[in-house]
Amino acid sequence: MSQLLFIQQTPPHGSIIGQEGLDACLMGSAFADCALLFLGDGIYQISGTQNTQGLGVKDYSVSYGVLPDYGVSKLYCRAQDLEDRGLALSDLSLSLAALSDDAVAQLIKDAAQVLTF
Amino acid sequence: MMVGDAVILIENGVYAFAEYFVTEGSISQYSASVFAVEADVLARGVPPGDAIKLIDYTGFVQLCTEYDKVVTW
Repeated sequence: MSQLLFIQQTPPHGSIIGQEGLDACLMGSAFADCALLFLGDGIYQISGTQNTQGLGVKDYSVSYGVLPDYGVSKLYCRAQDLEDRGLALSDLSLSLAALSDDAVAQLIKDAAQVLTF
Repeated sequence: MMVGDAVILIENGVYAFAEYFVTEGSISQYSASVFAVEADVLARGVPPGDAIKLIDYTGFVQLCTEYDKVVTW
C-alpha cells in the first residue's frame, strides 16, 4: 500500500507547478513508498515530444524517466482522461496503468497522504 | 466568433488542438482563421493540425495589428 500519493493535475510549462510536483515526488521517494497519479490535464505532463527551446525554459519532462530509478514504479492515470483528450497509453513517455474512476477513488482512499500539484 | 475573425492559441491554450478544435471540428464551423504560437506548441508536444497555422511572436504582434479589436480569454 502506498504511503504517499502524488497527483499531477496541471499541464506542463504554463506554470512551475508540474515541475514542483515531480521534484517533490522524487524527494519523497527517498524516505517513503510513493505513487504518482496523473489526473485531468496533468496527463499532458508526459504526452508528446516536448521541446521547450522556444520558451527558453528547461524541459523537465525528461526527468520523469528517472522515476523507476528512484523506486517510484506505481504510476497511474485515469482512463477517461486519456479518452477525453484523444490520447492513448502509447502517446505517453512513461509506462502507466490506466485506471477506472472507481480504481482512482480507491487509490486515493488507500494512500496515507495525498499531495496534489 | 464571426466569419473573418481569427483566433490565436497561446500557452496552455494550444491544447485546444487536441481537445476542442480537432474533436469538435469547430474550425470549419466558424470559418475563422486559427493560429498557434509555435514555441508553445513545440514545448507541449501537441501534434500540429493541418488547419492551424503556426506563428512566432512577431507573427503574433502582426496579427494583433491587422484586426480592429483584440480580446483575451
